Amino acid sequence: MDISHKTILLAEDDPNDEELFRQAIAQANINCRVEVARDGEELMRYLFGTADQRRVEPGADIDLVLLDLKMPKLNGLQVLTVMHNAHGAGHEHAPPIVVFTSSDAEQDVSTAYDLGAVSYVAKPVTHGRFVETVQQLVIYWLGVNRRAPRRRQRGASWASTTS
Amino acid sequence: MHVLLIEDRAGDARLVAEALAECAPQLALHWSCDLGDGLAQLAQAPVDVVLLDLSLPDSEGLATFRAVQAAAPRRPIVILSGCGDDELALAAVQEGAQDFLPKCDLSGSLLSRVLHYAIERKRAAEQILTLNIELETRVRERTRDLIEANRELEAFAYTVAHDLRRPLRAMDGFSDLLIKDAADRLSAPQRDYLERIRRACDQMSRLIDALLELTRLPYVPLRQVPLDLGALGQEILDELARRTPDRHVERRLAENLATIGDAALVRIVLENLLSNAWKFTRCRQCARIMVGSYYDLGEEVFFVRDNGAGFDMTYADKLFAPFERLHRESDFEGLGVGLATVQRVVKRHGGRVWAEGAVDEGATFYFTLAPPPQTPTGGAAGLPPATEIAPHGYLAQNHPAG
Ligand SMILES: Nc1ncnc2c1ncn2[C@@H]1O[C@H](COP(=O)(O)OP(=O)(O)O)[C@@H](O)[C@H]1O
Ligand SMILES: [Mg+2]
Repeated sequence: MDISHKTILLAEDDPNDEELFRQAIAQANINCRVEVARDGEELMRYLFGTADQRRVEPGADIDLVLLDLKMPKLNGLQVLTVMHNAHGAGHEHAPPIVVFTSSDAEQDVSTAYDLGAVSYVAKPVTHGRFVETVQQLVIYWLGVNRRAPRRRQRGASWASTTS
Repeated sequence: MHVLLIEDRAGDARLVAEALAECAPQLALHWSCDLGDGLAQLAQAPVDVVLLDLSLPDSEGLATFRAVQAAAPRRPIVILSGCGDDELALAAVQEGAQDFLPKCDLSGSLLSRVLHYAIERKRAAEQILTLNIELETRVRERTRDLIEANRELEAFAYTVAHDLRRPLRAMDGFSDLLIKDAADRLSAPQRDYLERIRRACDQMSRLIDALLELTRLPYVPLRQVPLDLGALGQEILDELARRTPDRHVERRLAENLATIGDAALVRIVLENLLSNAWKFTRCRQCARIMVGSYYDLGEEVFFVRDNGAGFDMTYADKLFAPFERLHRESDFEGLGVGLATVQRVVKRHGGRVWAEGAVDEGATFYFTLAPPPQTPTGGAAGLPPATEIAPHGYLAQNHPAG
């Protein structure tokens, strides 16, 4: 599957999990770009830009965020909260955020959905299932699923949205 | 001992003084002739008991009693009632006076006894009050401790989920990658070592899952619905048979094992008991597993029986503790959390679980899914059939009206 023009932002502080993730997509010949944010702050910089070059659209060049909940500095739920508020402020085209984390605590699952995560997937421990899960996740969100088309401006004309 | 007499009539006061001097010379009497002075005395002098006339120059009726009680809530008060004023005196007793004495038949012995009793009763009441307050404080403290402990447990479970699974994923992942990448360069024992690492990872992963399940169990809300344990047991045994097609196990499931319980949780109970029975009959040519129920003292007891390896009854109560096992891992694999989980689920339903067995002669696990019925006579005369004992909601489900 050619998704070389797509970018995943992997929010992951554990280099082991990062390497296992890269191996898993390589095994399935998935060739998208993978950016890694190693803590919540770095992730915020990817999404919103640095202080001197604020982004108009958070995460505009990112097609999927895979979010680990347990990260140094800002944790995953805190990042979701910020994104949630940004979305409410008119950033409709923020990338989908899929929680991909070790915990499957019910509380985390419901909070994540409340804060606008589009999916919640517990990282399997067993390698075979981990590989399978990663491949399905990436293929679905970058290959199969279609996102709503981007609107230039709010309330854009009929002609410009269908062109 | 000090008695404060609040009484406006000098004649009545003298009567009291005489009666006391005669019968209880150890009592020191102080006299106030109106409420104002009485309250002043209460504030200064040591007073063990108040003897109170309700009609005074500066106060009348129950108001008198209330004023004294408010000023000295811990002091016992005995009402000195006018003849024919019993009703008023009784009203004061209802509001907390210890007793009342009619002036018209005041004897020394009666007076002395009433005063002593009044003091003792008040002391006992005070003690109960203090104990109650202490008890309440202790309950509050315990509750706080408990909430704290629960919160710690939740935090612990969270840590287990996150921090222990993570390194495990790395161990399993990289050993698997190594096996695949270096397959042709690995000797058989080297490969075996890596496989062992992976098996250990898998075991630890399941251990973590089970442990988490165990810590979660007390918190999941119960959703009680009608269940057929026979059908459920059949389903679970079919699945076990499908997973181990080489095993031949004779299965006997009683009909009509209807009950109510939480579907998901009761399934966990049966899954654990039946997979144990399945596992521990592995050594048998003619393995047999039975699921049934009987009534004992009006209570339905379910059981799962097998003719497998059995166990030593000496350790019967250990079985239900987490991580306790009576068999060696090399003989029968397992984690030792199954029965601990069973016990938690059964307790959540208000029921009990216990086991019987003998080495090499099989085992029976019994459980109930409801609190034992209240039997005032203690007997179980004429055991009713299962449907009659089932709670109403359940019957309604099975036999819709009309
Ligand atoms: N049907 C049975 N027959 C004999 N022993 C049993 C049976 N079920 C449970 N036990 C004993 O109780 C122990 C604890 O059981 P359990 O908690 O289910 O753990 P596990 O099955 O993982 O060993 C077992 O290790 C075994 O010693
Ligand atoms: Mg077991």
